[in-house]
Amino acid sequence: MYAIEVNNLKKYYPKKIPFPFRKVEWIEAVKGISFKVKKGELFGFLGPNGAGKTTTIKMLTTLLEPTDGSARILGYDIRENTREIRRRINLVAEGERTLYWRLSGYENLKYFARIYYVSKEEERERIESLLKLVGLWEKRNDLVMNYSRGMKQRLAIAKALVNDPKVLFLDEPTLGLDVQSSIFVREFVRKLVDEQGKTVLLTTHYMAEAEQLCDRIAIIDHGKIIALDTPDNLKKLVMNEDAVEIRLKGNVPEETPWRLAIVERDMESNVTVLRGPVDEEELSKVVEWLVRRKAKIISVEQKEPTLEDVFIRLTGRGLRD
Amino acid sequence: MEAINELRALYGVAVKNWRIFTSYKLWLVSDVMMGFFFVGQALLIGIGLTGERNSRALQQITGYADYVTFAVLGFMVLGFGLTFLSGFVWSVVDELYAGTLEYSFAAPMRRITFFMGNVLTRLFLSFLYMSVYVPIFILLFDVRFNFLNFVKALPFLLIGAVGMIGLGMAAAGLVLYLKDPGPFITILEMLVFALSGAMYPISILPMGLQVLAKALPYAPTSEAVRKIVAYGYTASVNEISYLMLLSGFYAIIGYLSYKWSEKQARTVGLKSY
Amino acid sequence: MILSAVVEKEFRMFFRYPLRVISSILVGIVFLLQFVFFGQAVLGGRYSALLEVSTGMGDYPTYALIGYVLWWVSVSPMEAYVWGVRRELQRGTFEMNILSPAKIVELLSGLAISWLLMDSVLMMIVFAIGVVIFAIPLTLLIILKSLPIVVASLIAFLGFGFVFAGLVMMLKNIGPFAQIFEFAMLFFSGVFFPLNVMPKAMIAFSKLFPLTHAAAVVRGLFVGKGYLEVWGEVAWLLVLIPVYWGIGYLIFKWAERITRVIGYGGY
Repeated sequence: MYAIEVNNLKKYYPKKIPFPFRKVEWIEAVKGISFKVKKGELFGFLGPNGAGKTTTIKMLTTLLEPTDGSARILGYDIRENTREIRRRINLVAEGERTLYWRLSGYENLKYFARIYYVSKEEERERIESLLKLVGLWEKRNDLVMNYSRGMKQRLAIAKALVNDPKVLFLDEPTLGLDVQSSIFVREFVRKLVDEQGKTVLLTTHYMAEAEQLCDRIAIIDHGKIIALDTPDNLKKLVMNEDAVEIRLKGNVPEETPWRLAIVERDMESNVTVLRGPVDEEELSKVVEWLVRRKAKIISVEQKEPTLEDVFIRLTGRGLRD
Repeated sequence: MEAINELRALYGVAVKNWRIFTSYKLWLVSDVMMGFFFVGQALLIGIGLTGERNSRALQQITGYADYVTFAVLGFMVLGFGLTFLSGFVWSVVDELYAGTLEYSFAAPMRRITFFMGNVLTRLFLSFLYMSVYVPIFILLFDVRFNFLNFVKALPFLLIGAVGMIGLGMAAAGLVLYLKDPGPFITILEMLVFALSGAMYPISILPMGLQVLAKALPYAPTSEAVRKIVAYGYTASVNEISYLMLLSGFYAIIGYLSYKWSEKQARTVGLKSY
Repeated sequence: MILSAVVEKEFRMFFRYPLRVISSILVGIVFLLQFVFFGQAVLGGRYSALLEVSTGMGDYPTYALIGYVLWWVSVSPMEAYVWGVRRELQRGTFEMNILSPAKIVELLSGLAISWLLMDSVLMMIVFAIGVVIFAIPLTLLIILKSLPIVVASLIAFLGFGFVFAGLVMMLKNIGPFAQIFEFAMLFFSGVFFPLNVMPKAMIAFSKLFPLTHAAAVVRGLFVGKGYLEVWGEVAWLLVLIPVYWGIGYLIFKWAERITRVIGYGGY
């Protein structure tokens, strides 16, 4: 039995509330995805904003009903057995507002422990060990509103472990965190899988995070999975291609030539980074093309292929484009 | 040139406030409804308790037999007053919560311009409400008063407003430095509400509260306005002179506390939420 | 268990700030004073013969205090849904609750019960202060006699507010409507004035609100009547309890289905 089994799952949102007798248009957020996650696997969903990652997570955590298709979590159907599923899973949602700021860290966990039916005998011990695990035991009586962003995220993770879930979902767990907190979260999640055998599905739009952390990755774009494999295998797709990174200052031509994609744009310094598979012969043509369009080239560099290149190859765009 | 720049800044602040207000359309509707709610309630209480449209008891204390007219005038002064207190203070505190206040304060514009821009919008809004209320009240509740006297009373409403703005600024200057300003403002509002004399003559309050009511600018304004509408200027000299004195006093308090808060902001900084 | 967890959470968040509690009590008192003082100024005293003829209770402060305290508590569950749920929707804590294996109905009614209890505490204080300010004659017997009907009223109010629970999950911005509705209740249920000043159709309409009957019964008990004498109103109230709980539950079930399709509070 798989921990997560997804079969042609679709989600269309109505543009307005579908009151009876009202005709509404539908937006296609997830257009039929299928995948399986083994128990004890760390599975990543990589894709740009608006690709359908959060919608998929909400369906799998029973918060949203799919329009079509099916999915099973630990063998339970996400439509029929919502309560069985909810007992066995948990979620770290995106954003920092998912806890009660006017309660202390301890009080938050106590509340969630109760609505997850954690028994009275276990409650104290579990909360204490979780708070110690995420390094918040000393701060347990402080109100969450006085926590830093990183501390809030650590508490959110502790909350997500309060029912000792078999499957844990994390939606953009490091978004907006400082470097140190990000490292803590990544290492912590990896340990949950390696040491406690939990199954984890996380979404991210940071390539490095997906590459470093995940056993397997599904690349999702416009509501569809366009590739699914281990990071190494995915990179093999672009192994024989040379990845070139070109930095431009100031104006960027509206079209980008060949399969170059914009992968970074720094508003402050006005620097844009183009990246793509360009071999030696093509390189001088590319540079010439850019110069002719009055682009100011600061640097051209040969790079090791990464998942970014896989994404560019598959979609013709950069992840953050 | 400098004066023109300052005026442009003032206009900018006022327009911004206006835009923010009018973007909450439902709240505007529910705001306007409050007026009908108060006056309607007054009418029904009066009829339900006495069966009549005039009250001799009220006439003895205040000179007004028609209790609905009495309530309408009181409500208008109260609405005016709350505009400068809660509306004003809340808009500053809301910006503080939203984090935009520091940007406004960091601009080269004088800080008093920021406050005055707020006041300007509020003033405009108050008159707008009034122009909706007065004709509808006259039609709906058969409110009758000497219109000429009502116009004559308007300048004193404005003089009262000077005092109310002073108090509002003092409050705004103060609440910026409180840990949790919300409930404090509510408490202040409620004091004003209870002591404004909008719905009842303050002479039926216990002595201590009467003194407090007299010390705040609201009840003296309603009393002056009511008396002018009923009897004209000459009979109201006492009320008028007391109101002018009080308004002047609060204008000074407001100015001083604004100065203080300006200095305070630079020493301790604004809190962020 | 779920209920106690929600109640504890809400109580902690509210009573942690004494200044907030005080300001809420003050709002309660000032609002009451406005209308009672106005009535007294118009009457030139506290006793109205007309009020006694139409409602059986001639003492205006007592009449208004009872209606007002019950009104405040009656709109409390509605406020819990409209403001409490909305707040959690905006902050994202709502989904974290839904995600738990606890039933949504349990979580939501827990919220409403918490607010009802908090407001009851506030109103008990306001009532006590009102009794002192207006020198209202009160005996322990009257209080004890009123308790059963007060409890029944609270259950009815919960059902009445439940109608809003479903709506708010889909339409998070119904706040201003709710506020207008709350104030309209003051008119429909004769909180500050006798209902007979209203047109006939309105009086008939007022029967639909549990508050109308709750206030009538308690006022009756306060002037020394027994339950038998106010039986008609008691029956109305008891009938309305299952009606509102039923309607509220149906709307809620429908809304729950819809929100799982469109997401929580998205519109």
